[in-house]
Amino acid sequence: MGLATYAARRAVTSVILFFVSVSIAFFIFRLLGNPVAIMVGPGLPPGAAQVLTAEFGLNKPLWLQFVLFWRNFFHGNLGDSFVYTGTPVLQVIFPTRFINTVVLMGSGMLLSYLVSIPLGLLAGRRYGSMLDRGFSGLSVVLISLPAFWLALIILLVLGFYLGWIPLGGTVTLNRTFSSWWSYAANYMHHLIGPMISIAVFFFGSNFLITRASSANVLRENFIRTFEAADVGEGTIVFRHGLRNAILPELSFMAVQMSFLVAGAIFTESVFSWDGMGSLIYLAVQNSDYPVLQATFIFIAIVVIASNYIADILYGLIDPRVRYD
Amino acid sequence: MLRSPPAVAGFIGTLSFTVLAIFGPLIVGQQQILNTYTPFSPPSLAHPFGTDYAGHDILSLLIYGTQRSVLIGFLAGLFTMVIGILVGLVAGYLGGVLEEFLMRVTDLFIIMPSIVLAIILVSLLGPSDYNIILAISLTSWMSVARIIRSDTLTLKSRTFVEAAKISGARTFYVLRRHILPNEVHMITSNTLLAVAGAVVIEAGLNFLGIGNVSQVSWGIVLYQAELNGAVVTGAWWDIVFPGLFITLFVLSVSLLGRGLERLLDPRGGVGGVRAR
Amino acid sequence: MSEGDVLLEVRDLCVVYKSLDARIRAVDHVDLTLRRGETLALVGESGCGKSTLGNAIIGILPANAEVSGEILFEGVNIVSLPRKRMRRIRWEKIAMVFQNAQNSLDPTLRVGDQLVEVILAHRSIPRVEAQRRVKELFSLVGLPPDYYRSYPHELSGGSRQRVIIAMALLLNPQLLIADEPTTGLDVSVQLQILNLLKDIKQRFQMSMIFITHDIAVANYVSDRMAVMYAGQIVEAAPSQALLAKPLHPYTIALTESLLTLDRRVKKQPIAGFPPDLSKTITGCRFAERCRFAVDECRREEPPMVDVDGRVSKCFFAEQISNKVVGYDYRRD
Repeated sequence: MGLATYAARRAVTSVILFFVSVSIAFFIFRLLGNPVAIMVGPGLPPGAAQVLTAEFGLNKPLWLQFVLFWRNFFHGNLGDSFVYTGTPVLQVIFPTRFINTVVLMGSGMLLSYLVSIPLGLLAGRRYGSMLDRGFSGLSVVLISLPAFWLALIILLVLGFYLGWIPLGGTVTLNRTFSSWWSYAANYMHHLIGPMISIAVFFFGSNFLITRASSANVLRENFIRTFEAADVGEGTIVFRHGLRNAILPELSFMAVQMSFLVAGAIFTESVFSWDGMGSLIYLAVQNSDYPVLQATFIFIAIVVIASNYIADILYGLIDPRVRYD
Repeated sequence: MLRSPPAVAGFIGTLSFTVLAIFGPLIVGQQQILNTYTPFSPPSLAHPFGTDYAGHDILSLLIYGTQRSVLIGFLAGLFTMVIGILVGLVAGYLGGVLEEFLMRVTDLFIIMPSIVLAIILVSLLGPSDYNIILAISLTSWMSVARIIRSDTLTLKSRTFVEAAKISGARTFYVLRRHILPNEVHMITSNTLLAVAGAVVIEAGLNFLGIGNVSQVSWGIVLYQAELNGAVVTGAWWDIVFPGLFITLFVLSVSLLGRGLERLLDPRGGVGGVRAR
Repeated sequence: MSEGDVLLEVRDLCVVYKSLDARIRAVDHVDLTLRRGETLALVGESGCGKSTLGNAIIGILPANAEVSGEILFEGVNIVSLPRKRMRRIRWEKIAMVFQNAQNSLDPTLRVGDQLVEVILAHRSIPRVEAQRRVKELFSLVGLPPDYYRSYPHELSGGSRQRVIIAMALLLNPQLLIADEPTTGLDVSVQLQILNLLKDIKQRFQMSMIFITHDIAVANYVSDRMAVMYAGQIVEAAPSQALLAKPLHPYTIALTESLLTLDRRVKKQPIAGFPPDLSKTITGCRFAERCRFAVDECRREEPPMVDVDGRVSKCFFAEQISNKVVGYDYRRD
């Protein structure tokens, strides 16, 4: 069936994209920096330097290093961190930080969509109305705000002034938790600030895109058909409108992901959220290249996977793309 | 355009910031930003925007720092446009395998987490303003390329271009005399938008402390604020005002950009393309 | 409620589209009567208001439309009927068959599901029953039942049109308004669809309003015809009679463009353009382009003249009828 082939083809493309982007990162690191200094840093325990040189072929020609790099990659070996002296990089990122970032990005975007899409659909339906113009104006302002500033303001207002959220961290430190539940609750509490930050940041762009495509879709002929058939405003906007208007939003996903990653980095820094974003911050401060490189790889995985999911969703909704 | 209040507001805003950028360091001498008063004091008559962690007057800092922020943004925006226009024009006009290849490269760059790439680049090359400009340009050109390419494709099929090509005009000539002039409105507005975007990224990179932290810019003020606990101390002025500067700049430039696009559009919404 | 009773009566209907700087009088003081079992064709060029009239009857005019006058359906004025009551009429009593334009159906849903959705919006019956009804209608309009699972883009133009027709018949309406249902289809398919519509109309004793710009098509399907120009009905008569002996200069011009096909005479497009409907028009709207026009035509709006049970909105209707004012197919 069309969908399966479509999914398979997109999967192949995704894998290729992943391979190419990681390779580009590989070459950027080694051509702009010193191939040895990328993997071997100060502060590593003695003997580690020899091990790494052997594993990654740091004294061998570049193309061989490239091969070894990928071989090590599939064995889960991404080198050792400089900052967390000697700890394998994979351990530094995975699973905790990786999960924290995915949770943050996911929940933030979900919240954003939950609010912006219905509003965008309605604004498109009532183009030019007070509702439409109000939220549009708001959105224009929102997309001009720097992400980290928004995070700072939210932290200031909700954290400092209102005391509703903690002033940082993923979980309250130095506290033992009596049960899984209380741990989860504490985690959630800390998630609120950064999650809202991401949601608000993306509200603007999501709203405007949904509104524009909604206005277009609701002008189409088939909408008139269903108006004449009197199936009800709700069905028209939230079934026909939604299905058709969401397609450009899904296509936009690709571009939006890079903003989302940026948003994650800034938000995590401001809220001291233990994810890959704040890890990047740490890594840069300490020139921890293996960690930087690996974080790039993991983020690339998340981005490419999200794009893939968006493509599949697109194919599920719009049957026309499955045939080409 | 004069009928559109947002565009006028954008123009005034952009003009003001440009003036500040050029004359900022003259208005506020270097000595003035080094003066320290009471640290973290709230806004007052003497210090309309309050003081920062070390007691520097924030308003002075922001005025002085305008030059660096706007300059980086402007140059980065410019290079972004150059790369984007080159890619878009070549892809759109020459077509074929070249176009296919360039579009794939564009897609690749879009998927790659560009901000991480930018951070990596700066960290590898060193925390200088030039590297920041380079990093921003190399990671922001993609949307421009797409827009220019699609515009070029549309123009390419217009009759006057066909006519020029048939009459044997060389590629460069056609591009220069027929295609580019009709894209001026897009180029102008996109340059402005690119500059706005670049300023935000620059602020972000400096906020993270990735660039040169010893020179004042809007992002650096926020960097210092965060580093020295402005949030936990409740020094909201150290956070709100710098951000406001950035936001106002971005808003002004964006509004101006959109206004110019509509104004300069040779189609003027009525129809008929102007062929030089 | 027998055949021959008046089903629909339109009285002095005006529809004005309001925009920021203009008021466009799309429909201007139109009167119309339709009986049960009758097919009336509304004929005219683009922009004459025929579609607007159709939309007004089924009540899907845009928000910026101002309606005055009356539309009496089964005796009830449906012009400003509250939404809930209109829903009992819309699609249940009056349904519309749209032109097979691109995207007359939702491209993201299977056609069967779209029709089921329409049924379920009006009747609370189990889904399975709705599905059965849809398949029943599919075979009625000549579609294989497994088309139920098709997407709109997978169907040919003719099949899509049949789906649209099936959709209109879901709730057994008494009045079918067909707005250019065969425009854009292949000629052979056009004939099939026209015959299908005639057949259905016969079988279910429906009334039909057939909107078209093609007077030949109109003649094929309808019992009576009303010719519209610039928002007004300029002539109405039984179809055969109208075609054989048009009583309005505009109709004459229309039929000339038809008849030249037979007579191999130079085709006569009607010179000039329809008037600007946002401006007040004095006198006859067709005066600019009318070959018989005199000063009086430009000064005063002609009344609807009754000639042998037919009507024509022209000062010279009688004379045309008696061939005093001559019209010659070979005029240039």
